[in-house]
Amino acid sequence: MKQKRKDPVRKFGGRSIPGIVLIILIPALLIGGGFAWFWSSDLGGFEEVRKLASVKCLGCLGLDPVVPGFSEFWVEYPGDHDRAGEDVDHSDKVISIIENDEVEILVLFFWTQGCVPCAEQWDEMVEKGIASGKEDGGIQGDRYDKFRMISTDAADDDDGFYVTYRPTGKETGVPMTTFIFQDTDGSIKWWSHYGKMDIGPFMDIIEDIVQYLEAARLKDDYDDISSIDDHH
Amino acid sequence: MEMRKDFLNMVDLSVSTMPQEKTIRTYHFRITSQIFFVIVAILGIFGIGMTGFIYPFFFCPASPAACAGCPIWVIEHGTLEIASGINNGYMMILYLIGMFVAIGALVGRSFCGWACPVGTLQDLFSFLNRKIKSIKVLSILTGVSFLMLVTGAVIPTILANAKVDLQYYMFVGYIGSLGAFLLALSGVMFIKRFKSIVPSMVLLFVGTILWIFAIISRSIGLEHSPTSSLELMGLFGLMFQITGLVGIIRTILGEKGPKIRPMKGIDRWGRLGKVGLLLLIAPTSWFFDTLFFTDFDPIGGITATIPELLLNPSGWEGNQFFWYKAVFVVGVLVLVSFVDRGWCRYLCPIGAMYGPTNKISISDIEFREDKCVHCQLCIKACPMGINPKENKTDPECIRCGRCAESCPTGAQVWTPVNSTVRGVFGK
Ligand code: SF4
Repeated sequence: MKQKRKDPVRKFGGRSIPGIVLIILIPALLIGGGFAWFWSSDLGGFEEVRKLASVKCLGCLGLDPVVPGFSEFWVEYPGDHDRAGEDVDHSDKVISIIENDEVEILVLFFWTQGCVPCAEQWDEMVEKGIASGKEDGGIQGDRYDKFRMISTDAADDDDGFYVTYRPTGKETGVPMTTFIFQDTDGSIKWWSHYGKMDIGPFMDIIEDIVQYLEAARLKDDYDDISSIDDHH
Repeated sequence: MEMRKDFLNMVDLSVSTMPQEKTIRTYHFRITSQIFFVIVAILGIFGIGMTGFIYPFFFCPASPAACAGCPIWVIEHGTLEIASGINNGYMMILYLIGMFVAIGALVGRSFCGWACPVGTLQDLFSFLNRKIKSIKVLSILTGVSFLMLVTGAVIPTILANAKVDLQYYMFVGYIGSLGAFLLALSGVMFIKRFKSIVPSMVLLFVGTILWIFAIISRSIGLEHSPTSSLELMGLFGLMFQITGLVGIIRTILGEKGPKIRPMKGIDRWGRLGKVGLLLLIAPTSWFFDTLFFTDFDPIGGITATIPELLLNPSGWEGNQFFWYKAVFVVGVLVLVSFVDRGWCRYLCPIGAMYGPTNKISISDIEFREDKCVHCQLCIKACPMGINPKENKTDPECIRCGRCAESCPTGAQVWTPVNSTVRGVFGK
């Protein structure tokens, strides 16, 4: 006799759960499920989904943005920004870090959970001694003097850095890297790159800022000396 | 209709003497519901920011007009948070489970049949597959699809150059995406209709040309033209190439029928694929410490990557996941062009989550044995390829109601309260 082949997907021909069980089970699942849904959403589930989903993980999209390379540092919001030309709302925290004599350059690194390009950029920065520690709560490494790095989960950014320094004002996605320094005239200059940043251009920008500040200081010193000479 | 009448005459019934059972004809409700949920999925078009809701179906939160999280993405993020000791991870997972249990207890797997935009796309494919018979109509479909695709690729670029806020024009990106999907379908349909190897060869050729076109236009400096987007043109090139290859293989194997009916064994075992995928989501996220499934997920590719590429063709380049994703996207589009609800049958982990709830759900599709005239029309109508007479609580049933719609005698009925529960109350 030909043996009947076993079906891998069990067929539920007709309902095998007795009706009396079902009329207890359905309301129990409805009420239980509904309650769990409501209760967990109120206790952080809803907010957590909102926060995580409002930062676009470029890794998940399978795409990297083609963004213009560095051309200049900005003082106000740049031309492509929603608020082009307006003053930037630097937070007190940024101002106090950047006005500290011990810090010349501040880099804000934005990532989010599960983002592969973010993790890759972070690992490369750690390898070069630019950053240290884990992405979550990571800080600067020992490669540069007078350098500070703050690594921030863009979905959990209580300081609002991510919103402040997005180069277009709109959601651009992570990873994002923001360079901030104070010019010799006291103005705060900055530039943001979104998408994974290669380590070469990253280091070039740090070098550029260091050289720019050195030159600006020399020029200021020269101007001071010239003005003293003029007085004499 | 003719066939149905013939059959009814044969079994000595006539339409006029057919029992006039009061059944709920679901067709219009279902289409309305599907359109409604497509709009719900892309509410971001109207400027609604990201909410903390979770879509009760598959839709990528990285999509340009998304307004909620995706269930699979929630499992991944929840797992990552739990792995790093963040309590909100448990809350996210419970939030998701609570939602699925409540919806499942109420309507079982109905969201697959009535709400999911990916299901809607597959239904559209099956509908066109069934309805378009003549080459002339097929050519019109191809032309219209191509126009939609060009609209989706060109208009957002023009608007972006004119510095118009893209917020309200995102739908153009979706129209373009739909055009791209329909173009893939047209390719498959040409293969099916022309019983020769020629259309497959043409598709393979066109696919290759698209690649060359992209490479040349990039190398001669047309950076801001959509044609220079290797990602966009490459993806469509790949789509044509794979479709062409499938067509050539089919012709060589000699299968020229209008529709591939998967062999029973492969079909039944293949359905376990989605359960396997579902079970792998959390462990892979934990192990690789990333959103592993999402990185390769073809539905993310269909609902997010393609619209993004169309909105700003020269603004993106593929990262390390792009080409994997592209291959899966094309694979899924080709699969659903050949097999009705191919994604839901074999691969959708969300369908696998809803499936078991069919066993207990309060609403149901009921089969009344005494009214059945064994016409087999319900079996033919079922997009999930199951036998509606046997499988009323099968996890595979998406409660679409097509069996009820096709039944000439009212033996299949969509019912809001299942018969077992009604039986307890003596009704
Ligand atoms: S059995 Fe009926 S309701 Fe279920 S999927 Fe098939 S046609 Fe749709």
